Amino acid sequence: MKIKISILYFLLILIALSISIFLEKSKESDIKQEIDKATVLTQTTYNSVFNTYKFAAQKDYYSLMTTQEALEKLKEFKFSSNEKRKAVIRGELYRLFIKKYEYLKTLNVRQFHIHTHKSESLLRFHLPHENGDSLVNIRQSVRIANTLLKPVFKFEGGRVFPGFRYVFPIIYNNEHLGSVEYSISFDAIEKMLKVTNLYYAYQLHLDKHISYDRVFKGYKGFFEESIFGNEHYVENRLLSKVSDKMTTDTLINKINLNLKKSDSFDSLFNKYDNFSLPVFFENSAYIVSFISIKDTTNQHAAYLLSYLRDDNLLSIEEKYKSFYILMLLAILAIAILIYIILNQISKIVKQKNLLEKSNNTLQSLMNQQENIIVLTNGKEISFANEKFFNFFDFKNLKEYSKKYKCVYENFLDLDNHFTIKNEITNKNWIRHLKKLSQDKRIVTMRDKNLKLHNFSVNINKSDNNLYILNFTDITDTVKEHKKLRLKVVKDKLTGAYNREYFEQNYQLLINKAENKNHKLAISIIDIDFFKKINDTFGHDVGDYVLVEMVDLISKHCRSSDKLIRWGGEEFLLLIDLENESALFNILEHLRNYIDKYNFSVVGKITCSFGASIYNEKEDILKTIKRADNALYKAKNNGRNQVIVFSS
Amino acid sequence: MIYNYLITFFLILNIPLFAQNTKVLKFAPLPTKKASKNIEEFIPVSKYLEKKINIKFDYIVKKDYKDILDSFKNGTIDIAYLGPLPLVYLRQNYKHMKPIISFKQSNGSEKYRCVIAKFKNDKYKIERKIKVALTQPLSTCGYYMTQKLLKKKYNINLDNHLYNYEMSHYKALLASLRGDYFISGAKDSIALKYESLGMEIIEKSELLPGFSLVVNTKTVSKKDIERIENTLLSIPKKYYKSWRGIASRGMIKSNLNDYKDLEVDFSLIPQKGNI
Repeated sequence: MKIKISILYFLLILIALSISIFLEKSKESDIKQEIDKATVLTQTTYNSVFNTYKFAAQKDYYSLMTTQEALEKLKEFKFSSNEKRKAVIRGELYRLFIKKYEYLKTLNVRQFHIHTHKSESLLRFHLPHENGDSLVNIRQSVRIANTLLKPVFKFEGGRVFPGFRYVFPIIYNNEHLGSVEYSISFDAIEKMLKVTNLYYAYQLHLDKHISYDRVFKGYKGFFEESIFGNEHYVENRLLSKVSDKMTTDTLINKINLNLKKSDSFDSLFNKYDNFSLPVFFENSAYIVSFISIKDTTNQHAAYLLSYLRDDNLLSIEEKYKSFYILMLLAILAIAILIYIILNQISKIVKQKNLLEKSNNTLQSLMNQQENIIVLTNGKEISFANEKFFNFFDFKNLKEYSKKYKCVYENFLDLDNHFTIKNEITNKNWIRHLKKLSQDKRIVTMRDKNLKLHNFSVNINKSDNNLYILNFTDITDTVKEHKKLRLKVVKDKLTGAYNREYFEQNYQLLINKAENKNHKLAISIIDIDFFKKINDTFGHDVGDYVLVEMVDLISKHCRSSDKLIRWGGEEFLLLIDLENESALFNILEHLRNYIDKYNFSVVGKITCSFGASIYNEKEDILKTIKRADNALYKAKNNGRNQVIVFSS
Repeated sequence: MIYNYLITFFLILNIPLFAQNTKVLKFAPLPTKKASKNIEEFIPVSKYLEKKINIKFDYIVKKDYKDILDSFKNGTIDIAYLGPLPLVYLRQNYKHMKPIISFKQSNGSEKYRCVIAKFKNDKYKIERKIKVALTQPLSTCGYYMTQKLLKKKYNINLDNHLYNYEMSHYKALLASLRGDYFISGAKDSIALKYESLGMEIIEKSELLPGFSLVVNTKTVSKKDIERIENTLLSIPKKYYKSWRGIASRGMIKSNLNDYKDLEVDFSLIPQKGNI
């Protein structure tokens, strides 16, 4: 049992673990879905903002390409070898476009830069005195524009600032004159990102190779190490409003610190690909997205970070927390239930064993009883002792139940003993049996040898509508009782019934006859001249004559006719008559037989018969009286004759 | 475990001590609009000082030289970066000041000149009033020297022409380059940068002492002044050469005598333009 419990609990733990793993995976999947959305959204928003500036740059480029004066100056610059003249041209170009540059600045263009066809700096509007330097090895975008003569739109590092570059080749009358560049700072990108998408914040973390390593030495102070490690830098907070805001923003700092603690952060960060991570703290949830911005060589140049407060993550966390709690509660409930069930089973088993033991003890005890003992609810038997099974010759209750439903089926309708008949049915027999007095609570059953047995039934109610029926075999007692009863109702001398019998049974006989639609006739038989016999032969012979007479009449009567010694030499014969008219013949036949019979010692004797028929519901004594009158008439008429009283 | 507690206890006890060793000096850069640019030039210098002598700068941007003077007076500025004229202005109004370090020029020389420059294509027409772009009222190359140079070149009085303060040398030069002005007064080294844009220098001044670090002797101890001076003067070349801006040129010990020729009646310098 203990092993079974252990196995069950082990299985339960296994199930709990499996569900936990499943829930964890589901939660991760839900969170991943959420954060992937943020990644895509940030990327899309960034692309959209980048392209917005691209369109603005394109528009201005087209405008420049229609400025004849500028193109002529550029052409002159290209072909001039006079440095002083070139300086003046540069100044003229500056004068020509300074207002345009100031306008472009209002559109967040940080740098407006014209390059020579050799990829040298021709004129930097943001730093006009810095010019003439070669950008070939520094600025891929400028090199591509001036060699492949195609526009380049990329994020790129530089000698002073890294920026979002839009570089266009300048071709005038099929002459390549140089290129023009519009460069946007991150502050401008950030401004537009916030307009497009109401995220909490955006940040740019520049790869060291395109920022710190590339800028003029004197400009290295523009950059500070990123919180995410020395391979990335951010623009100095003294120079960038966005950086300044980010550095002093306590929420951003907390989020970044939490990010660094994340297990997967380092591996994802060093992949230089897009990713997002959830950050949970202080009852809030944020998604921080890292978008890898590539440069013109398609290498990782910077990470654009977006910080989005996402309460959906909290909902997901809450949802799965609830699932976990529910699961734990369910597991706990199941465990408790298992414990209770097993406990109950154990108790039941113990009880069953105890019960079995008790039953066995009880069975053993019962089997030792002489009486038949049955436990029944009246419809079927729950228990019976060995005596019961031996009596009916069944091995057990199962076998008995195949033939009989309950013990009442074995009760026989004999001697007026209790049985199922009339108003006593298989549904109420116990109730009826209980109502009887103990002396009447007798049943007759036939044993395996078909021998009849009488049982006195003792009923005791057990619990749950079960009754214990105790059958005590009183067959001998009943027999004795019958014998005794017989003794009481028989004449000692002749063996005929006596008056006692008549008193006890005349009504029964009447009822019996009436039930058959018969009549009951009473005939008084008187031995003629009996006194003379006594006087002549003595009382002993007289007694013997009486005995012989009873014997003779009994042999010539039916079993249903009852001969009663009424007194001395007078007998009453109670006759069950099917036909009234047969009475005279029956009696006449008997008289004739007696008349012809040769009695031992005394020889021939005769009898006189007086008879009458019982009238329904009359007093029996009246019937006897009429019979007696008829006898008197028979005596007066000469004896040895039958007179039936006629009304 | 106990060892860590002891160290922590020791550190806590010594916090005041440590705090005492790191001195913070309130530093006023040039009072230009893009103060951040000026500050960035001093970042390497201040980092060096902090590393060497535990003195760090706390930058306090002032709107103009008068503001710097007032701050010197009320002790809210310990050290400032000043050109010659502002230095003289400060000296005239506040005696507890001392120039300790002067920065060399980009060409390595210890002194510089003020110039007036114009765009090459622009022609001077005597009959017309010219527009002059100036730096700041207290800038040496501003009203003070430009007035002298215009007199020297065209024999004109600046007061009879139009002028405005653009608040920096670059802006003054760019203003002329843009065509908003005819002439700009600026520092020679800066003006030279704009030669590549067609600006030509038409007149130069005599040699003037360079920009200097000026300390407030009332708020900075003699010992600290000495320490700052010695440290800056002993910076190895490889260090300051790697820096950006003015500090990369090198430094010399300042000499108050260099300013004796710059006796100015500041009341005659207009504080704003006449355009």
